[in-house]
Amino acid sequence: MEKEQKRPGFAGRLSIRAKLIMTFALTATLMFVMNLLLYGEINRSMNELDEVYATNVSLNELAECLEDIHGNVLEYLSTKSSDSLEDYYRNVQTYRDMTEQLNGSIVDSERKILEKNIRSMSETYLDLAEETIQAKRGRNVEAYKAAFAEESQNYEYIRTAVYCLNSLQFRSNSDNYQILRDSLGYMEIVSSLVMVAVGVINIMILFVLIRTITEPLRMLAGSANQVAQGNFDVQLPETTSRDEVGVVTEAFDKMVRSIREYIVRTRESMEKEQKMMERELLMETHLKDAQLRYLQAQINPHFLFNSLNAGAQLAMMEDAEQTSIFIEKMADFFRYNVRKSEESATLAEELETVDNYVYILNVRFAGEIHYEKDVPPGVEDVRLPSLILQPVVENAVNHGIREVDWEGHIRLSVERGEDSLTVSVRDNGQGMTPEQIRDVLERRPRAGESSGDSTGIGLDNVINRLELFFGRNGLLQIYSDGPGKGTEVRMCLPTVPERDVSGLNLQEHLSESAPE
Amino acid sequence: MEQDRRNPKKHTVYLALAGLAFVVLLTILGWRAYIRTMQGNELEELGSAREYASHYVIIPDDYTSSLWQDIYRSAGAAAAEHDAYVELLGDWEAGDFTPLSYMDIAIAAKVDGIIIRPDGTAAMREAIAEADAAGIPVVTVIDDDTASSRKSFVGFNNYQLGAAYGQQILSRVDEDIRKITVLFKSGNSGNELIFRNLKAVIEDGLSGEQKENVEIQSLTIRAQSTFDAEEVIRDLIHEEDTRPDILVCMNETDSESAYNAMVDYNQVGGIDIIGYYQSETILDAIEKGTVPMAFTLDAEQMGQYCIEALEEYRTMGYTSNYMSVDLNVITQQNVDAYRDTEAQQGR
Repeated sequence: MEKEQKRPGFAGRLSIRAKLIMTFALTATLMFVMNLLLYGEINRSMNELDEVYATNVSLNELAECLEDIHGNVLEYLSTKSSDSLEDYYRNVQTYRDMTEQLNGSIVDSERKILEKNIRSMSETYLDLAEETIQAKRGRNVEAYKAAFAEESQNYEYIRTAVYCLNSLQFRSNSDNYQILRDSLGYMEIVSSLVMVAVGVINIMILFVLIRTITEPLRMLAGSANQVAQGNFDVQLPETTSRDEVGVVTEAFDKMVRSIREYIVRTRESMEKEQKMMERELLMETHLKDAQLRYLQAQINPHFLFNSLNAGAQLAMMEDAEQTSIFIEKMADFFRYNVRKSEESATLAEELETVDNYVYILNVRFAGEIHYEKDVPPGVEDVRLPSLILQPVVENAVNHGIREVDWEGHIRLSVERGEDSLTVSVRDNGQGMTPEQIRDVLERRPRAGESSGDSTGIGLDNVINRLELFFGRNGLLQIYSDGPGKGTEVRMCLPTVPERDVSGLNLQEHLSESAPE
Repeated sequence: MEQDRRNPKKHTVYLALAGLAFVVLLTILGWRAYIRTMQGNELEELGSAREYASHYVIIPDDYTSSLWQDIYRSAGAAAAEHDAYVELLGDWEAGDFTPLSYMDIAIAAKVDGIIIRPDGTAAMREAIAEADAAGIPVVTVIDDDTASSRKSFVGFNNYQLGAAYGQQILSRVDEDIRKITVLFKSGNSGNELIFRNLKAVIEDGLSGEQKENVEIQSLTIRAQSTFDAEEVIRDLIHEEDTRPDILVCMNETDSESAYNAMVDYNQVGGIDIIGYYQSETILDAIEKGTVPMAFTLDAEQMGQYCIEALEEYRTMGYTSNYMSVDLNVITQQNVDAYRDTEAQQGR
């Protein structure tokens, strides 16, 4: 199952750590900004408060400076000291600088207009003071007396004006102070409300963000539990995020998938092994079956061989050469049967057994069986399951030519093919109907079959072992043109050993595992 | 299906963003609400912060009187149209200053024009001359000082004033009227003229017999200090010998003093006070019938004409010598109209 990878969004690309840090940074920044605004406003208010009283302070300074000038003028008039004159000029400069700060324009405000008046009056005053000083210098007594009187009066006016302005300002400053106090109160309320709201929303945002972190973990844990219970087809939670949970989820997904694949593979190989073992068992069963039949037939083969050998020697001693050969071939035939029944054999051994068998039969039936064989050189070492050819020939004798009126012929020929040998056993006996052929090939038991005069191995056993040995079907074919027309059994023996699906060489396997 | 599974995650992100936006919005709104509240409370008196081209000064002889306040208000409105600012100069609580001192102050402050009610003294005349020398035009109001170098006079002609008073007094003279006293404040050059005319009109209107019975006299209060006038008026009403049958007051304060004294000494109905200007007390008294009538100058016109005179002088270099305003008589019949006017002016 290939999961479609969705391109993760900005939030999805962040790790949990980054998300958490971002969340807290955001919260902190918000609070910080709130505080910044708050402190900024408090600062502004404090500055305003300072300014409020600064105006009073500066007015007092103005009045003091004016007083100094007046004092200087008075002192100069009384003593004509150059010190006082010097002070006078310095103070005048200071005073001018101060009055420059006052409002000079006509504005619709009681305080501003008073400032403007003070400024203008100060100019008049300074002119008068200067006039007084000049008159004193010119020793014009009348003039400086008159000018000083006027200057003094002006001085009083200005002092009064400054006093008025001061009290006006003090009044408005008191109002301002009250306003500032109120504003601080308002600020407290507003900022508290906003702080509380921001706090609540912050908690909500945190809750939501943390849920986006924990929810995938919860879902992942649920999936893990399902996997633990053996459900490997669990649907994993979709993750688009690249954070730690995303990584873990992906790893978990990979793990589950690979476990699933491993299980499938193991199951397949177990099935294969199972099949193989079944085949092996089957093969053994067939062999055992064949052996059993021989054992039934030959109760004590060794006793029989020894007896036969003794017979052969006796015949030799009596100069009964024919008998001796017969007995010897009998012994060879049965020995082969006993010895080779458990393993594969070469084609040469099989052919020899067939020769022995036919010889024995011809002795029994007085040369009724005309047996020919046509074997090309160089095929002797081809291996095939043992006891294959003899049963086929026996079949040809028993079911083919035994009961016919005409002379029975059996011809065994071997043809070399590209990657196989074809062994054909042909008789000119009774022949077979297609039904009979089908029954034999499908290994159905035939009615009326007797095993009284048989070596005990049936054609079905031959077919089974051939097919098991080479791992192929259809290696044995039967051809007949119908009843009375003879029968041909063709066996195809692959020379290139067929490797089966599991890669095991059955021939080797069989030879290795065969019990001695 | 897959779409559905993806949605909750997107929703949470949107939810978080929405929450964030809400917080920011809340902060901004809260801040704006705070700022707005603050601005609403801003009493920091800077006025309209409008700048004007010229600066005129009104110097009242009685800063608190409603007459001067009315004149100041109408002058202020008229001045604003001419880009001028009017200051009512006379409330420097710290100094015990007379209108003369304020003249000096205004000159020292280099204002662009002065409106004053002259007291007829030589010092005042000098001050007006000084202002004129400094290039500051002076307009006299209510009372005139023709000998001064004022540029214009806004008010009622003294001759006519006397005649008008005389006629109104005459209408109240009957058999019982023996003594008529006219209260003047000292220092007004026009007092003599007003009284003479007033007396002439009354005498002309009376029959020979009556003429002999009725005594018309003027009483000039020489105020040495602020409260002298009040004491004089109380004495006048208290003493049976001096108590008049008709008392004519030529200013607002005197009118109220006389009215209060009359009530205090239980003389209601015994004295006809002819009041001056539509102060609250006088209007109430007229309404109740305890004061038969009061004269009033149209303060609206006065303020307006003063400014017009100053503006004319400033722009043209000259202005008309005399601008007449209306003289009205308030009686029980028309007192409501004055109340309405007052209400309109928002007092």
